[in-house]
Amino acid sequence: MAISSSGQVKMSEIRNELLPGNTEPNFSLRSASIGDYATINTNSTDAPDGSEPHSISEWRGYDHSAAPAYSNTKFYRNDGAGDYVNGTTSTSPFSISSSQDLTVSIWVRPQNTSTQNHMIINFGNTNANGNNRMFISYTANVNRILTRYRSNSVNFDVQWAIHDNSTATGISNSTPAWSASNRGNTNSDGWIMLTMTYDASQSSGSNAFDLYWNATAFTSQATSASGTRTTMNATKLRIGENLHLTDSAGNAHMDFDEIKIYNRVLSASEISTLYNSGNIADSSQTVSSGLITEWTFDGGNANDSNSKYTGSIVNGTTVNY
Amino acid sequence: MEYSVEPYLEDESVWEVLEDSIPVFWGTQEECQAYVDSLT
Repeated sequence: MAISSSGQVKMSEIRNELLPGNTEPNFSLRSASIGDYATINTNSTDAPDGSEPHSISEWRGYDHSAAPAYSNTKFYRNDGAGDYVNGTTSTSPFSISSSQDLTVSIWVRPQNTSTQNHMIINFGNTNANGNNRMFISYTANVNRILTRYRSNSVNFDVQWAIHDNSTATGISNSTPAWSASNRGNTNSDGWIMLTMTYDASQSSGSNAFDLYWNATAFTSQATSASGTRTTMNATKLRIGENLHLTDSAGNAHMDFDEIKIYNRVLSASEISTLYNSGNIADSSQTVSSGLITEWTFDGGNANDSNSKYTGSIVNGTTVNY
Repeated sequence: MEYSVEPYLEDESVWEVLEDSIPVFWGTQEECQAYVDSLT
C-alpha cells in the first residue's frame, strides 16, 4: 500500500510501507531512506531522492511495491526478404464486420532503399487467398497508404496519398517513394506511428476510415470504395507480409513496434496520447481502454500481451534499441 | 510476381490490378489488362 500522496505523513506509515507488520519502536527515517530496512524502490514515482537530509514530505505517495515503468527495449525488423510475423488462433478475438469498431495502431520505420510496396499488417479468416481480410498497405507507384476491408472480393476502403497529406506526413511530392531516405515526419529515431480507425456504423468507406500519421489525421482521400461488407473472423494475422504469400513483392522492408488493436474508435485526443510525444510506449502508459491486444516485441518474440494469438517470427528478427 | 485484374468498385465501373495482392493500378478492365500485359 502506498503512502498517502498528500497531507500528513506519519513515521508509522513509512515503517509499515517498508517493514509491514513490524512494530520496532526505534524505526529511523534516516535508516529507512538509506536502505537499512529495505532498498528504496526507485520505480515509485514519489521515491525519496536519496540525498540527505530527507524531509517527511519526500515520502508522500511512495510505494515500495511500485511496478517498474515500461521500458521499450526491442523492436521487430522485417528485412523484405521472406520475413513476417505470423499469428493464428482458433478463437477469434474480434470480428471484422459492419458492427465492430476497430483501431489499429502501429509504429513503422521504412528501411527500403529502393522503391517497393509494403504490406504493413493484415488480418482475416484464411491464409488460402487474399480476398478476406482487413489490411494497411503501401503502394509505391502512387505513393498511397491503403486502409481496406475486403470480403468476398468486394472492397470497402480508402486510399490516402502521402503527398496529398503533407501537413501530417511532411512529404509533398509523389516521388521519390516512401523509403529509408524519405520517411517524412518522424520521431527522433525515424519512427512513424500509423493509426487506422474504423467506424463500422458508417455505410461508406470514406466515412468509416480515418488515418493518422503520428498524431495528425489525414484530411485528403485519393479515392474510396463502399462495397458490401461480409462479416469474418480475425483468426489469422500477418505483419509485414500478405496473409497468403511468402517473399512477395509486397514483403515489407521496415521496422515495426508497439502494434495495438482496440475494439473501438479512438478519438483524435486519444491518438495524441498514444503518440506520447513520439516516445514509443505500451498501452499501460498511453491508452488501455478497449485494448484487444498488443505486440511490443520486448520479449524477443511475437507473443501478444493478452495471448489472443499464437505468434511466431518467420525469418525476421527482434533488435535491441 | 503474380498479377490479377479484379473489380475495385462493386459495380465494376473501376477495376484494379493487384501485384502480389497489393493494388497498384486502377482503370477500366481493359486498361488494367493492358497494364498487366505491358509488365508480363
